[in-house]
Amino acid sequence: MTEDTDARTAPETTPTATLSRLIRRVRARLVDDPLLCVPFLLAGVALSLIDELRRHDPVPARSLVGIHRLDFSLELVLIPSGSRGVRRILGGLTDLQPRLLLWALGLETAALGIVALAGYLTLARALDTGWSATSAGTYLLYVALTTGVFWIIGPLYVNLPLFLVMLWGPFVALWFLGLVRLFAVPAAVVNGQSLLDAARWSNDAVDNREWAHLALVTFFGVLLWLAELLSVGSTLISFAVVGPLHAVAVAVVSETRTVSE
Amino acid sequence: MPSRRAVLAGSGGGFAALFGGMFGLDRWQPESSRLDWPMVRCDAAGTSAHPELSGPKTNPTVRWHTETERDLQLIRVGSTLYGTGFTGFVAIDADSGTVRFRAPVTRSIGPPVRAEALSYDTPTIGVRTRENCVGYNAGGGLLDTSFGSQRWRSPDSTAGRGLTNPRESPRAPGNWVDWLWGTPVANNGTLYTPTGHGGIVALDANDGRPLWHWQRESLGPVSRPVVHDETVWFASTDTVVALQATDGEHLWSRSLDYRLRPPTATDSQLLVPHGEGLTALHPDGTVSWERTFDYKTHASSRVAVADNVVIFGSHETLYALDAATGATLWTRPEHTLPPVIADGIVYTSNGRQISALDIDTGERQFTWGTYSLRERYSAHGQFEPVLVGDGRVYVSAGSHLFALEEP
Repeated sequence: MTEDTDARTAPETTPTATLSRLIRRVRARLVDDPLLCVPFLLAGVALSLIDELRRHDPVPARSLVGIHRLDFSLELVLIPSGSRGVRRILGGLTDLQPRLLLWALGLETAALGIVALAGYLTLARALDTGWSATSAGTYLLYVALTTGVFWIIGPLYVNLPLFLVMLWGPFVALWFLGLVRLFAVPAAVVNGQSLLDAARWSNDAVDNREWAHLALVTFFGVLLWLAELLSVGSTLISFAVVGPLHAVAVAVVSETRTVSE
Repeated sequence: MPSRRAVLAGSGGGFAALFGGMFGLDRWQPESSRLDWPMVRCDAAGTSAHPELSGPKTNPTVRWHTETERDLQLIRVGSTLYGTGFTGFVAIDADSGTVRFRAPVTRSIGPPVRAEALSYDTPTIGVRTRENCVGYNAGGGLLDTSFGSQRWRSPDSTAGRGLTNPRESPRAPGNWVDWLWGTPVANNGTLYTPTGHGGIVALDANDGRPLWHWQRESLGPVSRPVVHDETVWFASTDTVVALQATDGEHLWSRSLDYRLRPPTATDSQLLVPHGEGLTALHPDGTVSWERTFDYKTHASSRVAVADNVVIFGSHETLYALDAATGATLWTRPEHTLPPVIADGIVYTSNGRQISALDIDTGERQFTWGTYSLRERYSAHGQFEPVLVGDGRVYVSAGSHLFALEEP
């Protein structure tokens, strides 16, 4: 009996044990199949280039990387991805000259497509699922929706001082809850479910394992923060490391749910 | 018939409105022109005078009055006034005094400045905070709100440090005291911003990216710079520095042994007020003429210059000097706040009353700000003329703002 099979059938006890099993399985999957890292590695290269274009074109962009970001923060993400070191803000696009607006939106669309493609390919391989235009389209829509929300309201960070402010407490708690409950949505979408069905399915998948998934989400947030401390190569490294880890973790959680069914 | 904007908003088409807003469809957009008062002291040269604008010349009436933030620092772009106060940035309709939009600014420390941004249909309004400079869309955000109004923030640090050191550039307690130390100015799409550490950073008004940075920490805090004829000048505690505007190349520095105030540039001279009087420098840094006065000048002393006449207030006297020689043309015995000039009229204040003086003779045209008027509006701050335009002079008094015009 392999470790993998062992983990699927073993009774889940404490959150720590659940988390430990999840991490062991993610590591085992990546060791067994290193090709799972390739889509996000390539995405990291492409998005690093896009970052450079964002940096040098005349449209405002904010660089969020470097050692000056030593204030601890968690970037909470709903989809397997990495950290984009250079970002646009909504106000920077308002009243922009049409030519530049098209350029900026084109870059954002390309970035979104690259993140979606890398996530879809990694998840499809990890889940051993065939590709389909429908599931790919749904996945792209999910990435667009989640990314679009952050793009409009700004990236959601949990800064430690902010987290301590009670005003933000309920909002952050709600967001954490949403992240945990929607953690497995990408896998369900790649498996061909609609967004609503995927959300319901993901919600059920994390039942009784909320704390383990919360720890996982926090772990990815910390990794993204660490990657953003790098002044050079943060986009590439975060995509190459966090992207595959996140995607395979989603696949493992999804398989656990499938097995329990 | 509902407007296109109302239909967009009412239909719940958030994204449609969003992208409509981005393309500038049916949005209110301020039109900047040469008739603007785009920065405090009017222009990048710091003349506090506009050759084409005019204000009231006889006893004015109040066109509108509004209560805003305390110590609002104002500029005018098209028919909109923009101001920064302690908590934020506000756009006010210049014809009615109603607020168009507000945007919170964390720790703003200077007045706004309009800069042309070629990437956009609307100008950028730069506001300096303690850490950086923030660029706002002069047209505000989407759907007539401040949402999406911020275009950019300059990097939080320049040469490893923030744009300013709070200890060196404290926010002044009153509106007449010196907020101009550290105030950015704009010229040809570039914002020239003092760093507070003996330096200047030039920012692209399109995206806030630093174009160049010059620094000599030993100089200490830096005044509002002036830009004229491809040269940037600024004063530190006792030294005047000239830099090339295009790349920040150091041209010259000159120590004047006085405590210097923010300078003003004319076509042929740099006028540098200081604790003892006023010194005029040639563009190469040599002294053209110098005047010292019996009473020391106060910290808010500024030069206004128009039609070859320099208006300058020392502690107890308002002087009109010949710009070429420094000779006295006329004086008035009054303590004055920084004056502004338009159409041959000098608008100044002793804190309690606004005075309009003829620039050639010093003859008083009118005064405004009686005790009963102050009581009527409960306006207890110092009355200060801040800018002129559209036949009006705009007067701030604590948290009150008045638009005065001829009846």
